[in-house]
Amino acid sequence: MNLLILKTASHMVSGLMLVFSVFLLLRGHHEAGGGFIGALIAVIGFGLLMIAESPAYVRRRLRFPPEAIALFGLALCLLSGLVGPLFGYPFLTGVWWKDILPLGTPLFFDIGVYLAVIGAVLTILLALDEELD
Amino acid sequence: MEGGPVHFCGPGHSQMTQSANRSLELVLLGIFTLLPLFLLALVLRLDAMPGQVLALAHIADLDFALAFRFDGLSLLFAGLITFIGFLIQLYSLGYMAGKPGRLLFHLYLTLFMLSMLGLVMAENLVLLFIFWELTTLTSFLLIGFTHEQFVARRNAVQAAVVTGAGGLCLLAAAVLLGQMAGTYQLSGILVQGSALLDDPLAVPCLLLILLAAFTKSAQFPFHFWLPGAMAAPTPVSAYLHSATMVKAGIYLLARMSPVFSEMDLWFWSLAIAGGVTALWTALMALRQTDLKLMLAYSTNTILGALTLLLATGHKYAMVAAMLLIVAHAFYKASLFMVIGNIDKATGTREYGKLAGLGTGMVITLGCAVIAGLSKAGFPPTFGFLSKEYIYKAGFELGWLFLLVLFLANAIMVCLAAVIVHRPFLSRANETHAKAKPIEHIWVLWMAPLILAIGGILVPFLLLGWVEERLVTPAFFAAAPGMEEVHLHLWEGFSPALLLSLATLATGLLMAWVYEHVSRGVHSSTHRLPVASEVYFSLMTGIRKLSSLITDNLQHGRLTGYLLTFLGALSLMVSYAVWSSGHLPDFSPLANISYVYWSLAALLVMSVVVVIRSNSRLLCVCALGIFGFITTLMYMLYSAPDVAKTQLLVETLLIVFLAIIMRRMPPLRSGPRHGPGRRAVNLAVACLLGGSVTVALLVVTSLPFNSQVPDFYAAQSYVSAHGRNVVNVILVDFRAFDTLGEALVVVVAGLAAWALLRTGTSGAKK
Amino acid sequence: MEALWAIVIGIIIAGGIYLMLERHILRFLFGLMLVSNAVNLAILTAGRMTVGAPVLIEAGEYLPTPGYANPIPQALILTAIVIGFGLLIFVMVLAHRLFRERKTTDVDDMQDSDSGGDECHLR
Repeated sequence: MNLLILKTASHMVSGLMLVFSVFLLLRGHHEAGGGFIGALIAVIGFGLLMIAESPAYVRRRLRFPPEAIALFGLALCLLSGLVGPLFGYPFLTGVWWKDILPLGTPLFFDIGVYLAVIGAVLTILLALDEELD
Repeated sequence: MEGGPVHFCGPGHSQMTQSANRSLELVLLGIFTLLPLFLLALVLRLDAMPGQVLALAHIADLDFALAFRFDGLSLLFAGLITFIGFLIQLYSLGYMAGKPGRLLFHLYLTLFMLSMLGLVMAENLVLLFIFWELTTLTSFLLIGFTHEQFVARRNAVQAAVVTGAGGLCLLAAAVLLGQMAGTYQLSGILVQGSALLDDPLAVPCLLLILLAAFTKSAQFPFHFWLPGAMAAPTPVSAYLHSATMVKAGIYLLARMSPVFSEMDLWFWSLAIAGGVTALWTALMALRQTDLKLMLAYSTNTILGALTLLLATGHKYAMVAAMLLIVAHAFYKASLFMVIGNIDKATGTREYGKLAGLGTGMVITLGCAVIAGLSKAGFPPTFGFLSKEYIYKAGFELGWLFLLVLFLANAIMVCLAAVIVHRPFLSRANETHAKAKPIEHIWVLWMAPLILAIGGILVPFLLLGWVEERLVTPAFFAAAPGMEEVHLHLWEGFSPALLLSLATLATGLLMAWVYEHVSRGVHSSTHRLPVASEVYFSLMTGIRKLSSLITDNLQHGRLTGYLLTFLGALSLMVSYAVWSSGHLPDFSPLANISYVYWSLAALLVMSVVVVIRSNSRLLCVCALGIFGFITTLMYMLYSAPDVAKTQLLVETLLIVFLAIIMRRMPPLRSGPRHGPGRRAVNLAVACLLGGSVTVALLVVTSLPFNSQVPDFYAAQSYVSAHGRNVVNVILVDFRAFDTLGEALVVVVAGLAAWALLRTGTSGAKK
Repeated sequence: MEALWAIVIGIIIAGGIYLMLERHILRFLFGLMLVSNAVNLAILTAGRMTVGAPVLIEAGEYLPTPGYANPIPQALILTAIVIGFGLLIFVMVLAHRLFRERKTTDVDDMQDSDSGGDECHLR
């Protein structure tokens, strides 16, 4: 399968989808959106690239193995949960710095979910496609 | 019944390590032997302290305490356990010398002794149960010690099954008793005493306690495991199956007697079980030809007599029971060790093959004679003392008691005479087994001799001490508030003494015609069902039943498993819905806009297409439509986040499904269920679906409590700084759920990845 | 309104369960997808259905507009969708792998899949 239009368009579209996915992730706290929705959009973007190019291409562009991304995301979730205990709150309690930017551990938690889902789903998608070809 | 204890004892070390092992072995043996002596010294230093408790740890929420009590009953048993434990360890040094795994043997004995001590001193009911099961476990290891033999393995399992089942009954009884009394502490329960009997749980609780005690103490019809346990090495029989473990049930009965002794059920069940056990096993003892089995059955008889005595709650009976416990432990352990010596010297315990051993084994003969006199109840032995009080109790209780006790005692006399006379004193000829000299091993005769002489000297010299320190405190622990009984060895010519003499005469007469008596007993009892055969056919039945169940439930057909599971689930759900007593209300259906009806119709139609279609592509299309309509529903019903997620998930799932499906054969291929099975499937599916519908209708017709949603909505911006309440719930209020969810997705991803990457035929391609 | 969806959910569950009891593994998969969707809808229904009032707090406000939808079922469904998604993907890959190993789609024929395809039966 070697379609010029698909190949050209998919690069642009998937780039847009990735930006959109980050947008969805970040606005999740106030509007509809969130880590999981953003992650699925990103996965669909990568999936498009995978179909247009090849799984190997996606792996190359990802730089990190998707399994590692998934585990890193999970670790980020856990770490953001452990900030609470440092300040004497229970595990996973939200801790906020509102001085400069509205930053808080829930944001990092959501980023962790985002990465975990991207990594896990891409792991399967890429492996499945490689296995079938 | 192939299971059995496994010991690890490896010969084949090098010379170097052997000498080091030898000295280590000696040190360990020394510790094992001296530990009981040390504990005995501790026990003797203690005074009976009713109501006083040593609490080491306490879990208040569970009402569980690692606590021990030191009242008279506990101390009486603890004294016996440590004293006889020491002598048995000493005897085993000689008996097990040179046998494989002797260190383990001593270790098991020590473990058993400690669990038994824990049992009789436990203050908490749950702790009592734990130690009770520990004695079962350690006795399993000891009975099956010669695990190379099938019989040892089988009988070890048998004893463990019977007494273990009783242990479970004890656990249930402990829970019931704890519920009744409001505490699991024995002191708290015993203080309430018979006031607990008003509770409706009292009867089931008593029945469970009786089951536990009767199985442990080998009462009819659970008596059969005790002779079976004679497969153990003789020191084990002498310790566990005469002096200690079988008395655990008696201990439990005595311990509980302040609570239950006023119940009629208590009296009748104990009296009947004890009486039947005493007489039946006495008869069985007569028909044995193996000396050890004779002693085993006579132990059963004593246990029956003890139960009978405890049934009455009479003051003489209680005193007699305490005396009998001590006296029996002394002479029976001694006699078992005598039999062990015979076995060691000649290699056989068969009654017919033994004669004239008295010339070579003088000290063993002495032990046998003295212990036998105590067993027979000759004055002035310990056995005589206990029998005096048994008869005193019997005179107070009625002729039937007296008759049972008289017969049982007469058979004891007969057995004592038979065991001493024929093997030791009769003339040997060449058909009899030859004896090797064994008495140069001093521990082999020292231990039984101490016990035998103790059986004579203690009532003579230490009667006051025994009364003051052992029997009276134990008596008051088992029968609080009763009049004290003073012990006298000689009380003049009382009816009890005359009956004792009559017992001796009858027993000796029976011994004189023993051959005829035993043959008569044999021919009249061998047609009766033997309890152990009932047990074995029961076990075979259980095994057949379980294989029947396994074959029918574990048939290997996955849809069958699913049908069983879903069928059970549908029955449970429909029962729960039906029993809630609410009726579904269909009236709100009347005023619903056509928009929703058409959405519903589309959903149902796509489901019908998925069920009916044989085309994979059509199915996937229908599933896609189904998924997008549910997305629409989430949009309609104010759930934008869910709708987005659903849309993306459906998209990805359909993509995955399409990838997988390409490689699979069409839906028409492969076998299908027959029409009958499809009808069953349909029935289960409809029942489950219908129950869900009714459950939802009932739930939604109930008033709605908006407390929790209001809390989340109110706190979302104020405390968690987020305007999207759903997202705030996910990442803040209920972040733990979300963490688990992310974990599930990652694990599913990694597992699927592993499934794809590994495998045999994948590599072949 | 809830009454209508209660009935529809019952029908979907019945259809899904019926499919799950079929012998072709793809039909089982279809059934599983239907049932997991139906359960999500059931959660939504049980938490009451509100039309057109998502729980979003307007800028400058501290509370959502009164009459807002119940947010708890939505959060629960989101979690359930994600977990169901992971489960379904895993089951799909498992089905694929089973077909690769056993060359059959008949669920009842997959008796010795644990032994790696060897002819090793339990009985």
